[in-house]
Amino acid sequence: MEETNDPTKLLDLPSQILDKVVEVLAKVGIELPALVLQLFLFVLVLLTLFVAMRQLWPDWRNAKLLPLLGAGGIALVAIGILFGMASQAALPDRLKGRVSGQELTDVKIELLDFRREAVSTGGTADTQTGEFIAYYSPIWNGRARTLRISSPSCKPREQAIPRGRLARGTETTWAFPCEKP
Amino acid sequence: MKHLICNVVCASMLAGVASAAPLVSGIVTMPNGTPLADVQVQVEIRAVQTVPQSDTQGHFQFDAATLFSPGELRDAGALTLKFSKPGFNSVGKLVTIAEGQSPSPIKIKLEPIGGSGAIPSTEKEVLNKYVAGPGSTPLFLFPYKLTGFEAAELKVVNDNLRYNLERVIITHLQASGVSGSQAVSMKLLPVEQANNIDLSTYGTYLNALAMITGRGGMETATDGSRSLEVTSTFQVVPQAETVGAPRLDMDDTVPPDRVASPRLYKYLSKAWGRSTVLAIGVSEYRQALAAHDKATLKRISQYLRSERKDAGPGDELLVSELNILIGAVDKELAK
Repeated sequence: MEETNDPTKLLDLPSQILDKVVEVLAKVGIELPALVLQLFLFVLVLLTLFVAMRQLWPDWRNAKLLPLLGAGGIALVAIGILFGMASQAALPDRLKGRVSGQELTDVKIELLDFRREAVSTGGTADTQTGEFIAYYSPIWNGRARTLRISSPSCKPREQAIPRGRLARGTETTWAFPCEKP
Repeated sequence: MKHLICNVVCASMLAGVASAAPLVSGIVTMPNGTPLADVQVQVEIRAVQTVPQSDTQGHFQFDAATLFSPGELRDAGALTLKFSKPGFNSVGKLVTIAEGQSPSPIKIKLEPIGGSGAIPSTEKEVLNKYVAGPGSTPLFLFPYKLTGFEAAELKVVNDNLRYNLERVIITHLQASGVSGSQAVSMKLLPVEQANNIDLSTYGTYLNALAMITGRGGMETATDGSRSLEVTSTFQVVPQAETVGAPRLDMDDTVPPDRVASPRLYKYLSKAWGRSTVLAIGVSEYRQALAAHDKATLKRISQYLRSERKDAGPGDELLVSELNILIGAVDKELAK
């Protein structure tokens, strides 16, 4: 279940950069849903880009290389943020799957966001088959990063969710070996 | 022609209603097939909705279209049902819903907490003969662990204990005028309670009103007189909101020459009858809560108060449990 094996890992780069920014913001007490943070950052980057472009405009052909590269870099960050938002908006609003384990009594599945906070609803596993459907809002909460499986008689287990496993039509089996608390 | 148009329009309207109204139904039982009443059924898509509990035959039924919009149902394509009841492990069931079709009736089995799986299968085979059917909630007696008796005598002493306890309890119930809605009888189980399984697990498996067991032995006093000192446990099996399932401990002292006597009941504590009234109170309170039945709540309050009034020294624990239940009943009546 390691993310390093996921061929779509490169697509995560803008999201990972955003996560780092979000972590820093969280440390100073700013904890907002992913979409709000992304929009906030996007506006911030656009403003920076506007200021940088004003320095270069109108004689940008004769501008020095460093400010030009700086403006180009800022534009790329803006595109990266937009790409991040668009890619999470394209994700399905649910994760279907199956839990496999010996103990499937009262098993609950939760999807956690980048702050490791539960953002899903539903998620009760079928006691016989282990099938479950957990719903969330990828646009609002960002893509689900972690899947937590819990039951009253076993220790909760968290597993990273590679992007590929969130794609439409994907149904993954998640192991839940019961460790007694 | 008008009729033809009407028929087509009506048929399509009916089809529309059918497609928007998948009826979900089924039955909830214990692993041994006994129907389970009062099982809470929750239906989950994005939100969780609660539907009417299972009836006395274990049947449940609901119309998904009254809980979720047609768009939500179409988008979800499946419902997750969660069945729960105090004293049992919850069960989840994913039900696929196809447009215009009601799913096949669902069969759900709820396992008692602690697991009826914890009861040895050989014992289950014996216990299955004793499982109470709907409307009947008997008391069960596990053989007492007694010392100072020959092995052959133990069976006779336990049988005699069962007969006399039943007599004490039923006489008390008749005198106290508690409703006969619960057919109370007592059965001696031909198995010994395993040390690592609690009385509730057996009681839930047997669908009992209460489980009784105990231990004791012949004691010799300083003056040389002998008596049977017995400590018993009375475990109420039905659990109700805020009151749980009370567990009471009672002591009895019996002269040795009365142990095998049919008149043993004269030496047994009156608390046995009161404890059974408490158990009936918990059971009826739970049913009255589910049915929002204030008349039954009033009746429960009356007979519990009467028991409390007549309680004497040594009944402190019982009175404390009666107070908890009376408080819960009164709170419901005040709503």
